[in-house]
Amino acid sequence: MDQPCLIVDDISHPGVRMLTLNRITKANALHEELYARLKHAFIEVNDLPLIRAVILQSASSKIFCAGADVNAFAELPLKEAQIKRRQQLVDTLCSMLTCHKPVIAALQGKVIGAGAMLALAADAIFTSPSVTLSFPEIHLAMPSPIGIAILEKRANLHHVHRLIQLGEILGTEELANAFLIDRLCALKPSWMSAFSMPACPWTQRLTE
Amino acid sequence: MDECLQYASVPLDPEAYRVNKQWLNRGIMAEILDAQSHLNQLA
Repeated sequence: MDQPCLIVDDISHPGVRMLTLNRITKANALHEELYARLKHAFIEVNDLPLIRAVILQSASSKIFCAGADVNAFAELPLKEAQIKRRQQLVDTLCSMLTCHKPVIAALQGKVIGAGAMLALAADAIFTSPSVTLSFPEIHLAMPSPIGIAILEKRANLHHVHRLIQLGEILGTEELANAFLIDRLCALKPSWMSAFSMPACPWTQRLTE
Repeated sequence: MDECLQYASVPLDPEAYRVNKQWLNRGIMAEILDAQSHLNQLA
């Protein structure tokens, strides 16, 4: 039986919905099904009073998400496929931004393009030291105003320019300096171990 | 200490959190929809 591209776990950590991107063979590229499952998971949690927060992570320590799957809607004309992919991205981002619960992105590895937009739409961003974040669209001659809209929420013009206009890849130190991440964590087998550190009051509140 | 204070600032009341988040994100939602509309026009 095929593994689901998104693992939804409301049981392992009471009060916390764990969403795990699990399309590893495609570097967690966002395709129609993954977008739909993410959107559903963020909307559904609004009606689950026992869930107090959502953590979004990857099943891979090497990559969080490679961005939009350019093969999605490949059967359609190019422009039409782009519009449909864009609609799915926007719908998913809006479901995160309107999710009633705190959404925490727990990042490891590469965070790219639409995957970076997904991560940056979270309320809080925790990263391992291995994280790099980039918007390669400019290298593909693609404008990225949606990326700019997301980035402007957190970063100043200098970092927006470097990421979007120059297509630079930023590591954790620079991301922290740019206030693009909230906390740098040691790499742990389970992200919840990072949230369980006594010095982190949020954990206590999430799990109380 | 700063880190602890940061996390301590997370509101506990679900309804207050929801309202604050809606207000915090109202601008970015509008920007995203504008950007989408702009890109679709370019297409």
